Amino acid sequence: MLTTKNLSVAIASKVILENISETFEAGKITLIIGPNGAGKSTFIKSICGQLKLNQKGTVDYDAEVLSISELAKVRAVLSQNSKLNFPLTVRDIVMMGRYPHFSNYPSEKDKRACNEAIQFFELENFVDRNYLTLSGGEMQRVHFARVLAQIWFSEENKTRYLILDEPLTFLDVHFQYSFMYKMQELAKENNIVIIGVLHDLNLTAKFADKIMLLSQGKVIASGNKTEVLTKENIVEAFKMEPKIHTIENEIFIHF
Amino acid sequence: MFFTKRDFFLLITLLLLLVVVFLLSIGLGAVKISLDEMFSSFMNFFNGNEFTTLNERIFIDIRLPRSVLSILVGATLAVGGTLVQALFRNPIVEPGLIGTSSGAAFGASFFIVLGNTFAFATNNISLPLIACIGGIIGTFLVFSLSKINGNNNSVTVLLLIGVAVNALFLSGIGFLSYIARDPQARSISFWNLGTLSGANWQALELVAFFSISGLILSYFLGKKLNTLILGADEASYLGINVNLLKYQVLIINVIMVSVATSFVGVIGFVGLIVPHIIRMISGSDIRKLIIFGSLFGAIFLCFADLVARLLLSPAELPIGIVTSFVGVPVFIILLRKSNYFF
Repeated sequence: MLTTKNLSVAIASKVILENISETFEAGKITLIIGPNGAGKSTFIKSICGQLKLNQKGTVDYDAEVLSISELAKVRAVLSQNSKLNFPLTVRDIVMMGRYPHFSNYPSEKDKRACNEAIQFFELENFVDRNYLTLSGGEMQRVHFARVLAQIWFSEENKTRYLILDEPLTFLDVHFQYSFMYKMQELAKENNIVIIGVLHDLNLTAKFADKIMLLSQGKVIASGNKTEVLTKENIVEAFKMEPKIHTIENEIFIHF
Repeated sequence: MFFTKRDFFLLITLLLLLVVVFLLSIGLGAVKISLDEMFSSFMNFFNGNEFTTLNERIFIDIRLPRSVLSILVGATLAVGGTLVQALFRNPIVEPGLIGTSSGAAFGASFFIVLGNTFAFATNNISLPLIACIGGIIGTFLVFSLSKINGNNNSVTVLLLIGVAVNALFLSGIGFLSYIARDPQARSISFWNLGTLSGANWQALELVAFFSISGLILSYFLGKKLNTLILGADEASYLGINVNLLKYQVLIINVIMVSVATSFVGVIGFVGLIVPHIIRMISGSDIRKLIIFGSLFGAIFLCFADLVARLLLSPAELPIGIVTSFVGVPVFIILLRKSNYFF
């Protein structure tokens, strides 16, 4: 479980996040939505410990204080854009996900995690390719494999955390859905805390166990899809009147 | 780190090449020294006997330290380039761009022109010492000026500050050459283009100590540095204390490169091209770049020094001219031919 208490972030005296107290449970996917500039990425960075100098309040991983190297064994983060300036093979990059687990040479377990993550994202045909020659969507999948390899095996049954900042950018429809289905599978089977930022409201409605709607640094609503995805909330956040249809318990939103 | 068959082949090739170039370098020059003479020179040296011929003296006192120095400096510059490229996640960075070389050059010029005026207690290492201090000050200037609001994240700002600080030091060097007497101006220009002619055992001991410890320490930071390729945030998600790593790398780099530069002058381009050429062959793993890069840098500089000594023999060229003359075309051809791109 990941808990934030009164989390506020201010950068150069501009308040970006205000008093966010939320819990994120293991085995559940929490998706964060909100307009541009709402503070979604800041929230992600903040719970990942990148903004310690600018934040007030607390972020707790299972109520334990973990050092950054211990945390790296149980928590993986996918950033919005990881741009590389040097040629590396796909395998090299995925193997970096295992770096927190070995000191000099990867163990058989590390190699297995690496290979299985590669298979999980259908990258077998790319393993020896230069990352810089891949398409945007392929690059994104390589980073999925890397972050997943990082927490592929549970360490002494500790809770694992997967934090994703706009994971679906660059992906085609096929991979958007297959990625989200895979996240669902992972969360249920492995007791992982999954937190992600998404833009697509329909995908959010379909896959989120919990939704957190941010606007101007505040949580407008959080809870399940019927609680959060209401006309009033969406108008308040996105300044647009939505049409919401409910068919067989699924919510569809268009504008 | 995986050593592929190709890597083993590369390692053996580089080691063999290094031995060949080293043997050529200690044998050839204004005078040729045969293997017999090298051997007898060694025997006399170790047995504490007087040298029997001039060649034996040349070999032990001049040729050998010079060749070994070229190897150490070449390795240091190549690894220095690798380190700063990794640190700034940018393939165009080399120690020359972040103020290290120009600071050292300014320090050296200052000493050459004004050293007597200020009546420093001078000895063999006064010039290197001041050059080294200059290099450290230059790097420190670039770094502290490129910190904005306490963040040193923008590589572009850093490079621009580097260009500005370099220009400042260059104008300082220009001014010093302008007020210098003729022989001093000549020393300045020789120093700025690099020369290994000052090699002696004392210089070698110092450079060897700092270079070898620097190379070993960098190797052990190699795995951590790999994660920086992904970006500073990603590296920290992989459990790396990025700020600490940056300072460690910077300190190792500036000391190792400043000390090397202080004895041999500014030798450009090695730090830039060697890592690239190795990357084309064996990929971007920093640990491989450090191993292969130091070998290749050593070969490259040892060879360049040989050319510098032989081309206009018995006079010699500044080595910086040779490294650029040989290095630039090779580099451009390789870049255009390979499918290595950014």
